[in-house]
Amino acid sequence: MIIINPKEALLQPILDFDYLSGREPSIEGAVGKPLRLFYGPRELYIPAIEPEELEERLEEGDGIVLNLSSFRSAYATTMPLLGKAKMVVVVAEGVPIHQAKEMVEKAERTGTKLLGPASVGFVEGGIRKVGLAGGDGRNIVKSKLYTRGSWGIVSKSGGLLNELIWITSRYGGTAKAVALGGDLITGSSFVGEMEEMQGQVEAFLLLGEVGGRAELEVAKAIEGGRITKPVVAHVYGKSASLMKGRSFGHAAAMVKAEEESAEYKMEALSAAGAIVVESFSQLEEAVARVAKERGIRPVEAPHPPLPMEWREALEKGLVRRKRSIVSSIAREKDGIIHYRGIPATAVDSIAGAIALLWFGRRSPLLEELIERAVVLLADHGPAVAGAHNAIVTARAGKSIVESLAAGLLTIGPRFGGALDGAARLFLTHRDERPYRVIEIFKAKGQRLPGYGHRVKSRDNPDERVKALLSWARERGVVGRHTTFALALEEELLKKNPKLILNVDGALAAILLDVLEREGFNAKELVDIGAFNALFALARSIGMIGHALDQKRLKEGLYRHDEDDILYL
Amino acid sequence: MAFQKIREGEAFRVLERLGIAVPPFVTVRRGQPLQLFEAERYVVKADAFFNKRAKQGLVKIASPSEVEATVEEMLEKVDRVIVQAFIPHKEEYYLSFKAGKEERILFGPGGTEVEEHWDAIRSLSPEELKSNFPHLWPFYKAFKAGFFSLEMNPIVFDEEKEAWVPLGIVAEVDEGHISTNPELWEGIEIGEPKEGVEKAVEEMDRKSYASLKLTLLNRQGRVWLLVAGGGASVVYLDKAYEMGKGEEVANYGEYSGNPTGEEVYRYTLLLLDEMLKGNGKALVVGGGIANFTDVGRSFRAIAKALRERAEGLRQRGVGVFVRRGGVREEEGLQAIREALEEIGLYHEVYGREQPLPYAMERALLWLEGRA
Repeated sequence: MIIINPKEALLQPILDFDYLSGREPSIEGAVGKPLRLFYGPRELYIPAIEPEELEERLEEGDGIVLNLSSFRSAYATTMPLLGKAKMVVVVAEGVPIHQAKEMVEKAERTGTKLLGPASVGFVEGGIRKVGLAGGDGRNIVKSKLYTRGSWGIVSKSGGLLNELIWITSRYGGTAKAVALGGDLITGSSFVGEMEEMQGQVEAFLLLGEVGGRAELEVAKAIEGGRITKPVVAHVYGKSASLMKGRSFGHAAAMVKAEEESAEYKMEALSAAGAIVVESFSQLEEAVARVAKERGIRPVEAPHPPLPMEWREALEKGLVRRKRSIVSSIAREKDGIIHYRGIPATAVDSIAGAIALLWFGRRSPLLEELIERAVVLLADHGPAVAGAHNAIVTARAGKSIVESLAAGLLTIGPRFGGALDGAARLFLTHRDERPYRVIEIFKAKGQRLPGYGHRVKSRDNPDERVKALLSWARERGVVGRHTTFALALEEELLKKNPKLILNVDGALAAILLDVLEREGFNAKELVDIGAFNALFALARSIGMIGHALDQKRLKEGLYRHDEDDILYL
Repeated sequence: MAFQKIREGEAFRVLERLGIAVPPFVTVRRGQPLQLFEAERYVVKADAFFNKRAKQGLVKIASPSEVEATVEEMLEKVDRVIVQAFIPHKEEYYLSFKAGKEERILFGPGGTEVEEHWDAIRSLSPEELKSNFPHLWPFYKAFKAGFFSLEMNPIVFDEEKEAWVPLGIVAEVDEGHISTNPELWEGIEIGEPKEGVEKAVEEMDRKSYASLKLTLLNRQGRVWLLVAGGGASVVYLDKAYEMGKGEEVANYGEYSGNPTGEEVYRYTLLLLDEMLKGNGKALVVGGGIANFTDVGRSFRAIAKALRERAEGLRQRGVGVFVRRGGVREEEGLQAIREALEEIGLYHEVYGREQPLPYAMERALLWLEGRA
């Protein structure tokens, strides 16, 4: 069959039915969308059917269409199929009544069988399941739908069809079960279905409802000898009088005339020779009796086991497997993301989020410093390499994120790496004498990271560094790294007044001391790159700012000045 | 889908939008000022959901000097009144349409005595209407724009306007059409405005892909239905009726079409609150064997709602009777069993091993003390 408006959850039971029944997969495809469904344990990929191919595929296949569109598009999608398909099942409830009438009339005119609207479809035991009727794989097994049975079941209600299938499953099983649909105007009829399936059933189970005269047609057909197999019947809705004229049950179930009442119709069926039960509860008993009288044998047939869904097997502890990913910093719980067990809604600052997600727990001291660090490192103007790249990329018309990425990729040993470099310097050499450290670096021909400024000097100090140091003193977190950093500065200034401890150096030293003070593994953090990360996080603010700026200023593509290039 | 009655004033508005000539009219509610248009004479009628208004004194002709008083007097009897211009006319006709597998079109002499000469009314096919009474064809088209039934009596020929004008309308509309043609039905009041819990459920139903319905039958009823499926709901009502306890059922209602857990949870809370406000003592959580509604999910949602109202339910000593089958049935039944044990309510939980109506049977027996 071909599907319109597929929903995989509704289609999987059809393939489960096919598998359990030992039949080939009955779904040829869906219009406009590929399907991924299981056939037993095997996963199938069913390519989409293009709208232009539809007609051809209808002719090649079984010509059945299952239309799962909602009531808004059921009419528009069904009408073109009438006259081309052999059968169309329309599941939508609430199709406008005049549209339903047109659909039914066209179906009759063109010879396409129409089931619905508002029909859950039908099941032929062991042969085919078209629609939602019969439920899921488990129900198909419990109700023995995977094998051919003896009962012909007809109802308007789709929900109750499954109930009837279950009742007969213990007394001969289902040959064919059809739900006509609860709306007022639907294709097909009780009498039509019953006459059509007469040859394949031993007995009928008919569930009528108050409203309409369809059951009277059945009575006439029994009287007229057109229906010859025994009919067990019940018509529900005796209690309609309690409803005081309000519409209930289905659109069709509205008491208008005495002939449409449940009692009247049950009388008529009984008079015609049907086995009528006054109460729904008595259906099983009647079915059992008829089965015995007719010698209907109980259904017994083997079927392959239906594989369990992975999720269910996992929940039941039947399977285990090694997970591909290990993660410890964040997890969703009750629909809210938790950072290290703290709901995000309870984290009151950005620094707090950083502390939890990067460092593993909160620490007011660390967070204060992170706050200061991020602000100080946020930007360094458009001329620096990272910002420059972000600017050029933004001016190339790329998105903010792409511009940011271009800037971030500039970060490394030469740009932005000072924070990390200074931290490593302090970690490695903190126990040594400053003059020795200077010698080591001189010998390597390297500059000391964290020191030096183009403009600032001993006599023209960097206010930011002063502020950081006074914070550290106030908080009492001046530890061995900061002490060492200051001692090294003193030694350097003897040579060159511009070799002051700069912002990167000051931050690195104080950060190391705070981390140690708060019981974090400072060395590990530096080794895995947390200090570089802090720089990248902070500088992202500036890079994004530059990218936004360029876009706001509507600057065009950048091309470097030819005169500014030395060609070799 | 359901069909809903519509008031005469609203029906006039819709027909007007469809290009049908209607008499100048205005509707007035109790407590509202009358904003009258000019006319030589007026017809004042109750704008309500019942027929045979003339025989009940709810149709009055009034002169301009009388009309205000007439309206006020009538508003003491009904909550809404329609005032239309009196259209002088010679003959009065009857024209009605009803949807169905066979559409029913009736036409003939009309007026207040129409039932007395009903055999003069002819039944027509759409083709016959079109060829013999082409001037009435626009009314058929109007009917097709979304009415389930449209009855116009009388319908007259207005010499001045040279148009056919309906003077009295009784109509029902098809909700399916309203959803698919919102502009035509914008702002039109359908049916009786619902209140309270019925209104809340109606709003939930409107916003949902699934179906959620609730109708209060008898607030004094001790048995409340929380049932999946419209058909199953009726079967439960039938069962109560069979056992002579029809009046004990407080509500009709259903959820179907695989509503989300959140929807079932909220629906259940609305029901439980109403149940505890009323006289509720037994809750029937029922349904057949679902085709695709996830019983695991819906019953977990019901369990959650039950836990939230545990205190109130315990105080009342509510008993809960469950019967359901379908997708993830074991999980669902287990979830509700656990919740009920935790809360400490009397409960009986059945699966497909018991027939559908069993939960109602047990509930009623328990209420009688014969459980």
